[in-house]
Amino acid sequence: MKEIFDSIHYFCDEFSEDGNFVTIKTKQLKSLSLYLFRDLDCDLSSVVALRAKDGFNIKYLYSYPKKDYFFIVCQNIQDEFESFADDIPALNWFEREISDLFGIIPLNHPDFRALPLHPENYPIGFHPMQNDKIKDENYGTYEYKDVKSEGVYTVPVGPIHAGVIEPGHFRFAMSGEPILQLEIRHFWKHRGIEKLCEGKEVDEVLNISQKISGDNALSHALSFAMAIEKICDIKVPSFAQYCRVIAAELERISCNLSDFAGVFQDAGYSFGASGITALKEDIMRLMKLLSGNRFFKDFVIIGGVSKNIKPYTKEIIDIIKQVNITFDKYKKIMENSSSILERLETTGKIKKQTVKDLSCVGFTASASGRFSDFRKTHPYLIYSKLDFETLVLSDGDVSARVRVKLNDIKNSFKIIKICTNYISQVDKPKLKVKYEIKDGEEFGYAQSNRGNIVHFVKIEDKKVVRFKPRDPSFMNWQSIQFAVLGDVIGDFPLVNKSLNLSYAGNDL
Amino acid sequence: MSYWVKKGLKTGVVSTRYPKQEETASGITPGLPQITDNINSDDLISVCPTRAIHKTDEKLLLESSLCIHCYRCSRDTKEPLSWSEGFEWASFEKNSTPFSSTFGHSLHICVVDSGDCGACLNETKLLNSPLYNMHRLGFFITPSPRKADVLLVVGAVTQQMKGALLKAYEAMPTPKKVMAVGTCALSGGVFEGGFIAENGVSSILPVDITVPGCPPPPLAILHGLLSLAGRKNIKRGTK
Ligand code: SF4
Ligand code: SF4
Repeated sequence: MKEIFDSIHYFCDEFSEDGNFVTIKTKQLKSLSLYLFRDLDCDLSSVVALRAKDGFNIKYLYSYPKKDYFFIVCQNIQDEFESFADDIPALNWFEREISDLFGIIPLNHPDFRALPLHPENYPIGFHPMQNDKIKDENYGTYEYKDVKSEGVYTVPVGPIHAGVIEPGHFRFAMSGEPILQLEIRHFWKHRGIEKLCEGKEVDEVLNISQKISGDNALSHALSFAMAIEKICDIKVPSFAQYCRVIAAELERISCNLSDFAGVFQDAGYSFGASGITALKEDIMRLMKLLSGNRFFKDFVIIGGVSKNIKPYTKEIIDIIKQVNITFDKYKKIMENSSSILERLETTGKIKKQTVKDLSCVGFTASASGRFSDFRKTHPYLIYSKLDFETLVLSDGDVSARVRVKLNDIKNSFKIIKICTNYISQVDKPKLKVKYEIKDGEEFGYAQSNRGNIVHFVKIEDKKVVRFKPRDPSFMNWQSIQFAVLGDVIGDFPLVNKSLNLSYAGNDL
Repeated sequence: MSYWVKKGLKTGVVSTRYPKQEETASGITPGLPQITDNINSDDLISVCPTRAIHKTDEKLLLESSLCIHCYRCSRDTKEPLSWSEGFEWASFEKNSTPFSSTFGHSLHICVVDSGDCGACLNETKLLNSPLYNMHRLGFFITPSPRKADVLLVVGAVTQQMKGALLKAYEAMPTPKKVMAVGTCALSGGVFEGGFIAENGVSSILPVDITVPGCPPPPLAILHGLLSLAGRKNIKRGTK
């Protein structure tokens, strides 16, 4: 790392190291950002804007995949800043989001349209995070990038879909059968979570954080809790850490199973889908037994966990064993069925370069040849002590994503086994520690089944003054626009399912 | 091919027998906090973040449409509340009635997510899974509101979804009913104060039946549908 730090020193005015976080202040923002993103091959993990004394402060968080390091690049600005979205496409949505919420303008942005706040619904001058008066009360319209040419027609879908699906708008430009272009428009579910959390108590925000993306309730709570624990120097007892890992892996199994079922369903194989959903229900019932809630809500609390799961070790082991056996059977069915595999292979291809450009995370990246799993690259809790094999595939198609997920389920079974072994041997389980809220700001992160979740929290006077959650779906949504190119529209549900993107987490 | 026929026969029926028989499996419901007599009230009222626990005429009450399942009343108090295990929570709004018997046998349902967190929708989705299997009761999800009898709304209605939700309602043929599912849809839930409609779905559409819970388990939603079809007798709302 020394060489890397030396070369960073070359760019920067201020440099400070705190654990695995390196904070850099520089005047040569662009060269440094490009050095991190291109030369060091970092992923863009989050961008946070904050109101400062005069003007605003923007923090770019880059994660270094080869070693457990994060780089925070800061800049202070007035009411505009230079956009790098042309060079770092992953910044595109972040900059537009900041522009909508704070009213600060990214100069030379390649696609400067409104993002989270639809101009049809909110006045153009409405910037909730700015706390200023609304200057422009008019409403606007949204320009779609429709393809206009002879023989090309547009198929608009949504926001309300057929079936039980979250709302989002998709516009396909079709030329005959193949899809020429897909444009997505989201944020229909924008509930204003960032604004809502300003000035709230830590406990309240912990509760809200679990409702960012309901099926990842635990992972979101975990990354929020870990941010707070870092700020307040809370040492979580090791028993609680093991409990947290068991819970996180159960949640991962539950979500991955539901994906697996979805792939069966959309490939037209409902027998498989039924069987797998039944397994998912088994896991959810186990989750209820352990925590009182079918989604592990309020299991993670600041300083530990809320319930002792030790008395249920036997149930966990039994159910996981059962689920594992049945799961293997269905996995075999899939692997031996040429009709299913044919649907999955070469469908919805995402190139490695796309994944890199957009800083995609989780299985989307891993299936396209770019490994992404914070449990390995930036281990938290006790993950560094656990031994499991992650999978990286280069195909980038639906089949590759499914295989990565199936491997993930297998890993989770293994991890749970190790952890239950540990907790059954602990004599005096310590669930939580007492703590006091201190002021400060930190990033917290956890790996959900979809990819890494990164939360930024700032506390002042024991209240949360800024909370910026970044759901993995926010990084991955744009990749679907590339995945469907050249496919037929009938494959879209399958591709969509294989990417398993959360609308709620994306929209905030 | 032969495999799944054999497997199917071997597995037999796994669906719940509800409503013919009671469902007693563990883990099907998170339950609701239960107010019992002679409980120390002040402590509880101050600990509940959403005013779900409140006092009317000196009587301690639980307004389930406000409860966000934060478990503070069972964790942070000296006398923790116990939670009931039931799931038959649906209640009709004032002046609303079930479908008449002509239309009440089979229902077609259009599900609209107007800003939920994903959990309510997840539970709704499970109604189609073999363990709950609502098809056996004649309930079907329709792809379009034009064929729907029931508009099932989950989630706090965000500003940006208001228009779409209204359009979906208008596209439905009469007689039609609206079912609001989840605390968010009933009152805004944790998102109260965010960019959402103030009183949930009822500020936009005439709601007929409500199912509280955050999220309500699949059986609670099923209970709501059965009630709406007039196949289950339930209490009336007083609101
Ligand atoms: S769970 Fe939370 S919201 Fe519900 S009654 Fe208890 S304290 Fe109130
Ligand atoms: S009621 Fe609860 S579970 Fe349902 S959408 Fe709202 S926050 Fe999510």
